[in-house]
Amino acid sequence: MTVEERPLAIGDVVTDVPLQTFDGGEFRLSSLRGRPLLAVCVRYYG
Amino acid sequence: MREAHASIEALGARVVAVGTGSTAQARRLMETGTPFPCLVDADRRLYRALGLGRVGWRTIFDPATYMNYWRAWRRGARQGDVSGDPRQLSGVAILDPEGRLRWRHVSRTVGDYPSLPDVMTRLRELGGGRDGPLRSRRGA
Repeated sequence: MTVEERPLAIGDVVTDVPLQTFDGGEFRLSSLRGRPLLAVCVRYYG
Repeated sequence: MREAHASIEALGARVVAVGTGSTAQARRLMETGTPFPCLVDADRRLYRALGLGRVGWRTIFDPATYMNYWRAWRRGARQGDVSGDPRQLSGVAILDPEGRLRWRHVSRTVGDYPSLPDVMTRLRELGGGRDGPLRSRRGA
């Protein structure tokens, strides 16, 4: 499955897409596994 | 969310913010005291994975949208420069320690965020507390 095909269902492992940190580094949500994670996806930073 | 960060951490959970804007804006938020990572998803891959859509221009200029802006302004929110995709809708997701999606709120329009008490309740219901099922069996 690719992220473009269909949204994830409850229970699916969240696709570990590369995100960027404020200094341009790569960050993956998988690096935070081991504890519950609250991910807030905002409309935009402003 | 800044104010609630300690309470969320007390439930054993971590918090990240994700935006479609620039890393410079993420840096500014971090430098102004945001206590959790502000990340950038410039190509919206996480947003698409979570099923977070984009809003039409008509909705952006709808009076109801401006009412949401006004309510946010009354809460003290101030709009800075906009970067990223202004049509992107927001959302909130709770992942368990193994990275599985356990709950999500998909915004239907501009300003459609779940209330903080609702998010906290979801975390507790899903067992984000010290001994809850969302906590890793590895004890991490």
